[in-house]
Amino acid sequence: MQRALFFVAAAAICAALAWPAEDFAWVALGLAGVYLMLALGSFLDARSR
Amino acid sequence: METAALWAVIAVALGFDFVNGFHDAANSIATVVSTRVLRPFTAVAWAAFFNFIAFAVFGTHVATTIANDVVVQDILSIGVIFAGLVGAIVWDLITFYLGLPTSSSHALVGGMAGAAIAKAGGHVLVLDGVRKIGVFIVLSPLLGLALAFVFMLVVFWATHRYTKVDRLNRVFRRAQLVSAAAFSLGHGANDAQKTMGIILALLIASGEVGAGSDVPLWVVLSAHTAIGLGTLTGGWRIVHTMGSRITKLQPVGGVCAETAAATALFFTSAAGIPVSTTHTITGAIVGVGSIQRLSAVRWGVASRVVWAWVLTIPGAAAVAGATYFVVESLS
Repeated sequence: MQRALFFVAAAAICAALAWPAEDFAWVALGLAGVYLMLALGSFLDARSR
Repeated sequence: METAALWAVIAVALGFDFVNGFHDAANSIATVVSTRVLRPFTAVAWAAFFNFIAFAVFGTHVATTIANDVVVQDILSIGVIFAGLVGAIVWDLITFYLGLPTSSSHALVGGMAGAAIAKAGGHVLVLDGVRKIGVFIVLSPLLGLALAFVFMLVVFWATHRYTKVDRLNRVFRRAQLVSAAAFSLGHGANDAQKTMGIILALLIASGEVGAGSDVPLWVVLSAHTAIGLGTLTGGWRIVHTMGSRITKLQPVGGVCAETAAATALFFTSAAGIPVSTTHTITGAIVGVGSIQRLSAVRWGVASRVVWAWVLTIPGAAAVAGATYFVVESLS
């Protein structure tokens, strides 16, 4: 569960950087999406144990 | 007199590149050494070779960003660039002595900014460029972390039914040679270009080449030679921190961390974004460590590294600013 929360925090940081990243906003948003998927996977993994 | 000063500062810039090489050599070879795939000297020679040949693979977009997008070109002078370099080198040596894997790149940006601000005030910063560099201070380790985690997931998924563990370990031990080479290539491309950018800025400031010129070939070759020689000299204090104190690495982890960091560096070098190779590989090693559980990562060491990151730009800027005032008072 800790890992899922860590990934959610990482996703939030990446999303927050999308605006100042300007031309590279797609990198920040894409990374935020990846972290959200990793958070979901970690959450489901933790629940299944 | 001015020509002698120009060549002296170019020598200092190449000295910075050399320091960068031995400071960051650890990043390229820490996993190879800590998993005993190569002996330390062989690993260092392997990394130095790929540092050098990076010039043949990547363009000079990062060099252009450093020359044009940190401070306005009008403000650049030999004194400003010299002070910026001194700030970066002194900061690198302090963190090298303390064994902290901080960023030579951000020390350089901080040094340039500090010296320029000391000369003419904060308005000389190119905000778009500084913002882009600032965003990727945070994004590059997160990119390395996510890629390493995903690579580990893919490897585990692909091999979880494979029962010959010893054989699999041998494959990954050898694969580390390729991943370390790829990372060294990315390191050479991104970090050597920062020195090229500094030398290009010097040549423009002294009127040797026109504004908007490409990086001359001799600058490209000398920057890659300096970083390759620096890597050959090695940096064992930081190898220890990177290779074993953040998380304990197995060969499979080393391959995934280096491949992830190399992928991130290839992308940023092609996009002209100066990022820290140190930040990127640290994020990737944390990603590998956290695949099992977050407690596998030694957060005490990782947070000490993060504090060093936070302090790098202001620290190098302060040293550079002070150096600029000394240079001005002497001239």
